[in-house]
Amino acid sequence: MIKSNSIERINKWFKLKSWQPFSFQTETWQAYLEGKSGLIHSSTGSGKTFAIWPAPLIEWMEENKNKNQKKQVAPLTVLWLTPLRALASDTRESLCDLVEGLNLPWSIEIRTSDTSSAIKLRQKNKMPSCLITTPESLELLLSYEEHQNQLKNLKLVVVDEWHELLSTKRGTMTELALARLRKLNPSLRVWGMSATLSNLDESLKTLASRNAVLISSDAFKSTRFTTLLPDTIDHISWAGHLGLSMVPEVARAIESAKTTLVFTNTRSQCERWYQALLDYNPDLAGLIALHHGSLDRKTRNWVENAIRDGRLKCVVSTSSLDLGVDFAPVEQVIQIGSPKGVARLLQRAGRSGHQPGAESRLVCVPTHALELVEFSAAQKAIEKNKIESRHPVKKPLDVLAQHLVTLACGGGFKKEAVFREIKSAYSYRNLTRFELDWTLDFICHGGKALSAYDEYCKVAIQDDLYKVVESRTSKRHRLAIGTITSDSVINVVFMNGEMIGSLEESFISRLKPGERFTFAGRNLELVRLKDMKAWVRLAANRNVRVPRWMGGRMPLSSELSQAIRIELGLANDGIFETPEMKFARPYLELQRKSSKIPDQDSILVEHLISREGYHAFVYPFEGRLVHEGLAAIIAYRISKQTSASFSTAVNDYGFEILANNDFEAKRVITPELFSFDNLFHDILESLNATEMSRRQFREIARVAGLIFQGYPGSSKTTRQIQASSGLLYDVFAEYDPDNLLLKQAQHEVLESQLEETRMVQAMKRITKSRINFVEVARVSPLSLPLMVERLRGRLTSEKLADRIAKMKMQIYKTNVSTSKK
Amino acid sequence: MSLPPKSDTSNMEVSVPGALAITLCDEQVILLPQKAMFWPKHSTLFLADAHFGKAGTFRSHKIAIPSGITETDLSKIDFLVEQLSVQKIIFLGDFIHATTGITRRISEQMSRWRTTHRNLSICLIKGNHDRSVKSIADKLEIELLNEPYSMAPFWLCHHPDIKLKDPGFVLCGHLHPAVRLFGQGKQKVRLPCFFIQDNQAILPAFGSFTGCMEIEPGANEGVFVIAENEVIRASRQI
Repeated sequence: MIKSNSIERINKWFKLKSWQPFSFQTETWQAYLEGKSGLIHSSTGSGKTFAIWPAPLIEWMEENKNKNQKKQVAPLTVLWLTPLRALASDTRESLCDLVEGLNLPWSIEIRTSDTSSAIKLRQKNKMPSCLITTPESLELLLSYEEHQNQLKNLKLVVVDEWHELLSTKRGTMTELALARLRKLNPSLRVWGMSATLSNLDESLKTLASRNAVLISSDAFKSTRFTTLLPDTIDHISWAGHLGLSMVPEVARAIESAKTTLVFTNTRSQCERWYQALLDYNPDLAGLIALHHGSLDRKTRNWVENAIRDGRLKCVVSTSSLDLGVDFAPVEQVIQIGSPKGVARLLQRAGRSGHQPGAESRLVCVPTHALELVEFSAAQKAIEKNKIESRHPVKKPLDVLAQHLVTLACGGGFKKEAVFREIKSAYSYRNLTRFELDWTLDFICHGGKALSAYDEYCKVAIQDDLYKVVESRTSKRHRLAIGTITSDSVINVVFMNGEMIGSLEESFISRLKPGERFTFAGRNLELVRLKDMKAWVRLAANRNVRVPRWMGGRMPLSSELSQAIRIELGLANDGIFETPEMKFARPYLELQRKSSKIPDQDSILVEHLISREGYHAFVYPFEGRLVHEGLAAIIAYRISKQTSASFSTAVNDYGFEILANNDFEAKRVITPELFSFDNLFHDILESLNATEMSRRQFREIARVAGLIFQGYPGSSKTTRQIQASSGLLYDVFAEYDPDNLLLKQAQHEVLESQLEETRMVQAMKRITKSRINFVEVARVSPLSLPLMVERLRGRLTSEKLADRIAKMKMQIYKTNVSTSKK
Repeated sequence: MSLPPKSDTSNMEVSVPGALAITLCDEQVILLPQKAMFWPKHSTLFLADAHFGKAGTFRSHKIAIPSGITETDLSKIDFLVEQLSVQKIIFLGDFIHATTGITRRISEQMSRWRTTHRNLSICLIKGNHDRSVKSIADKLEIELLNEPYSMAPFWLCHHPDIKLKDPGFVLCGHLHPAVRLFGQGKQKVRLPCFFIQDNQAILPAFGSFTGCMEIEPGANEGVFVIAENEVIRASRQI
């Protein structure tokens, strides 16, 4: 260990706080001072900030030992990337704490989309010593020519909560931005902070490929798990995801702790639970709050501060509180419904018990009966330390196209140099010259087919330099940066202009003025939709609708799925070990009676004839994404044997194939049907029919700049260039079928929408298994959730005209709105 | 007043595959799978919402839309003119998308197209996108008309639900109608359609690069969907 005065000063500050530096902290300082990059990981998360933050300060103090430190503020040295701008101010607080304690002339500032333009302008002239920002705001910085000077002396980039970004396109964008920063300063060090993943080595490589170390900060911390069980199993339904019948039990559990975080899986569930808890116990008014990503930032900040100050008894939230600074008063975490993954459950549990010596307390609440099995399985997986991995996105060309335009705005680039730079990012390490050429063609000419059109030309080539020349183009591009994740959202405001939050356009556009809905814990009435804002007023009576949000449909992880299959296998053998399993026994016995309990060696298929048609329920237990793919492929393969139209439904446990005529399920559903021969072909064939790539194209079109969402505050001028991504997809598929972005849509469906790798493994497993075919007379406990699933895929081998002949049109008697087009 | 339209496929020999003849106000008209309507009595072809130059508008805003859309749409018209011996084309509004999209290239392309159809009379009922259409219309020798324009027994409009001095049956566009069909096994499909109400017929948008708006037809309204290359009656009535 390096001994120096500077380290002594840090140690002294720790002592004042009555802290003792952990060994992983001093280890990190050391590695940093040796010029290394790295990744600090832990499953519970605490002390990571002070593992890395003192390091650049020590270095600076050593370098400026003999100078008068008071005189000059340190130049921009550290860039701190945070995945959520809401975390920025808390981060700033803790970073300032140390700097002030040491009395160093370091300025620490925030730059996110919330930062005022006056501050941004000041930063343009004079950067702080440490800038806290988001990947999008960093990318924006890179779109200005000044970045080359501003950022070239950067010594350290800290990437906070890297596991959250790693497997997303925002993560890919971060990788590209890091590649640029490293090009400006080859000795730049990058340090990531992450929750524990099973592929930490790969995760490290995405941040720094050379001279980098992994540091584990796992301090001993115990977690106590319990599952909330009602009086009898009959109180838990077979289907559904809300679990509101458990409200009394949850309200009692909330009573028992000082502060409780209640985690739900979706925003609509969050709204419902907030309402239900308040209705059940009106005394909670003022002590219970709501927190999710659609709420206005001010509201969220208020809630977060109130938790920290111990003013709240309970907060109902979504994954929006998964991340972030620690809330000391939180004693207990309640998880409503499936946690979907082992790591996620652990992370949520880790949000409680931050008082010294306290343990994490996690209470699981089943929303339907099978979740009892899930909770039991999850606890076993945690004991055995079977945690998920997260993989980076593979060279998405839409993000590359966006980044290249960013660089073209920020002073331009030359082809060979940029090729090397891009390839230095882990995600793009296998980028081919052909792909780069295509992407350059796309941003310069709009793709090969367009080269004769002079009205396009986004990026110009002048003396080998790729550059955006029109300032209007760069202005518009900057607006598009950062829209990677956001769906088209509409702000919800009161008539006096007070902002409540934002909702997906798809929900709002289905409402008519006068209709009521619940949002942000309030009953609202839509007054009108104007200027991309939904104007609302408070509604007196009870709500009618709760918004449904896109997303939040995370699949059951492969680790947890496997643990569930094992658990069910045990149940099939009559072994019920855990309290959850013992409690679930009557439910599972009923499944055994009406059908069978799925075991590990065979695949259960239930066949049912109902008024709706012929159903086959298949239970691979592989998570909803894999099932979505399997359902499409299996339906496709059956449709090749017999002419029929299928609709499919999936959930995390299995899938349903429903046909309007008898497709002889028993004869056609065999292990061979799950063979992965011709898999790729069959996927693409069935995908075309089910339009998955068309849906996936929505995000790609937005990232690649094909959808322009408009200037803030002026919706009118852009109406001429609005087109739905579906229409764009159709036009590309017909007129430019070799467009690589279409291929990317297919590829993304495979990788992220269908988890192709996992699907192949599942198919291997199934082809080796036996099919356990059961004719059921009525709906079994396992099949009910699939029966009621409303989101359905479709596949057909019939001619469209034949299908329509069979269809009867749903007749509505409404006034046809003939408004604008 | 209401002249309930009747469907009738027997009378007319249709030289366009997949077309369907129906009767509106005792006049036989043909619904074409190219998303157009033909009136044999006057050898007139009705096209609504062509939105020429829409791709160009996008391109001039730096949004890369592939080429070939205008060509396809023009050749569709060529095909119909040839097959049906069309003598007059009436565009029911939104002939162009925006003037920014009518680049020199597209304008030349359309002029060339016009010269191959010199004998064709072409009119345009001005739509909301056609505010600055005059110069290109002059160049293409397209006669500009304002809605409602009488062509007995029909009134020609761009917008549906236009108030008429004399009641009558309207042919119009603007809406880009599409309908969602439901079948057994929870199937769904969304298709562009001709939407026939008791006092007006709304044509589907002709342009290949146009979106749709879903309608919810009433029980007595007629819906004829375009399914791939075929016009099919989807409603029980008419």
